[in-house]
Amino acid sequence: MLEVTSMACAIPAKAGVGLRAQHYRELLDTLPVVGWLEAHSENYFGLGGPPLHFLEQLRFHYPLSLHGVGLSLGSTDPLNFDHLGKLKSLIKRFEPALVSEHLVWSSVAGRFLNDLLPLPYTEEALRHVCDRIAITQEFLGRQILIENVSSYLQFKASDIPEWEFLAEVYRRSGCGILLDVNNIYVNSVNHDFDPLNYLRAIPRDAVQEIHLAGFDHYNNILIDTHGKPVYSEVWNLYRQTVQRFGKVPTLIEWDTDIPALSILLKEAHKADAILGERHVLAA
Amino acid sequence: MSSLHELQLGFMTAIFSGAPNGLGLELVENGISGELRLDIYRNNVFGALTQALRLTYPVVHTLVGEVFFNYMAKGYIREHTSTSGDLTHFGSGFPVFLEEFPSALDLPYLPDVAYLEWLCHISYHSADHMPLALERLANLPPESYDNLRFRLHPACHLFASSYPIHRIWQICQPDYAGNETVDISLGGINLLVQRMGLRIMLQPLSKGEFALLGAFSSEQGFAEACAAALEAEPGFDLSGSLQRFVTQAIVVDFLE
Repeated sequence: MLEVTSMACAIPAKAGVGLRAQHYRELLDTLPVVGWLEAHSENYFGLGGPPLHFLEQLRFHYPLSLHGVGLSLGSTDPLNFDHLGKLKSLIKRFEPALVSEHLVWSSVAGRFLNDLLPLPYTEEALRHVCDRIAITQEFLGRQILIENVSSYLQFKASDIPEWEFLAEVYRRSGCGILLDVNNIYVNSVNHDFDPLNYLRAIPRDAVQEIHLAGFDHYNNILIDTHGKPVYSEVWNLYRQTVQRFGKVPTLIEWDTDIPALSILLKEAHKADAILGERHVLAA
Repeated sequence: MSSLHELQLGFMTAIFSGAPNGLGLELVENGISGELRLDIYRNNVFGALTQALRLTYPVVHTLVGEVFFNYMAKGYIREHTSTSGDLTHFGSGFPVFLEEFPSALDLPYLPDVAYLEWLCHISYHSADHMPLALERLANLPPESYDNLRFRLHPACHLFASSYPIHRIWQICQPDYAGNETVDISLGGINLLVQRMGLRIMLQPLSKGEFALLGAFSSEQGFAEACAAALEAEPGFDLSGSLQRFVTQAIVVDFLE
């Protein structure tokens, strides 16, 4: 008789790649050496068909993280329990080691903008989003990671620095942090701050996952398009991130102009090389 | 109203109305105007929703071209709210929207092509189902056949059009290499959209086949369904067709 064991296995402190439909077949045929895969949760909310088929096949070979883009945690609309229910079923079926969402809102008055929109960094927004993260974790019966996002504007209403807001979300809600190093770099240029201050504000044991991606330029503003290789400035900041937080699972994200799998894997190997360096953790 | 809620409403108004600074949204300018900053979000929002439509409606996109598709998409996005964080649901109203879209009126087949693509999209994400085990039928007493209600695979959808949309669909596939003209006088077609393995397939159906499957999908009993098929196509091969539908996992279940 077959021994039934849980598929859940921890994400190794290695580089992983974002799972995209273009690469399903090649991943499955070649099973390349890569630490883990991250799938966008909403892409697997359907009842059947190819997406779930491939995710199931790939799940046998790789540890998995589920990354949500549509929960709209920061919205003032009621939490969507239909969406949460689908996420919960997906978690039950695929046993991901990590589940994450963004520190954003993307809908109001029932209308979705389907984009990652920044919150004003205020005590009111902090309380609101922490309550919603707590309800989400309670409903899912597990901790989730919350990711910092790129932004192209700042609200005058904000009276808390973004990094303090993120650190406070971690302290109050019991979530973990998914630290997107590219987003920190993009915001440091767009809003003129020292990215190292950002890193120093985040508690050392909060970060359970790191994201890396490429950006584009638009009128002196950096746009987080996930459509380019990781920039050298971001690799440098990543090295400093690893020095502060230790070896943390790191994902290469690529969502527009998706390249050949081999290029994605090459980026992952670069991250692996940095994770493999000897780091003396700074005090 | 909380100030967070007010800010979110103001932001949404600024994105969709295009009017500067909806509800007094106050932004830090820092060398770049608030309008330019909001433009980035307008581009992102319209870009993501347009991309979602393009992925669901590749044939419509091929038929009208990038520029006109984006123009139609912009009109659709303005009028049709996205109501889910899961973009799979976005665009269900696009075929109906195209029926009324003034500049698309000289392409009368476009709404039907779009509707066919929406069915393909739904089919792609529909539930899986096991084929029907023939012994289940064999074990039934013959007198119960008349009232059996056969069920189609959840990924099967029927569509009748008065335009040659199957041919139009074929010439717009990325790997199609043949003659690229369609004679519109070819007339209409009855189609079955199905998922075979991991691929979406279109199967032209005869009048009898279409009537039979249509009756099954509206949960009519077998006797009634057979009568409908024979009326649509005198001399229709009932048992042969039913056997083929079971073998091809088009008919996958029945209720007694």
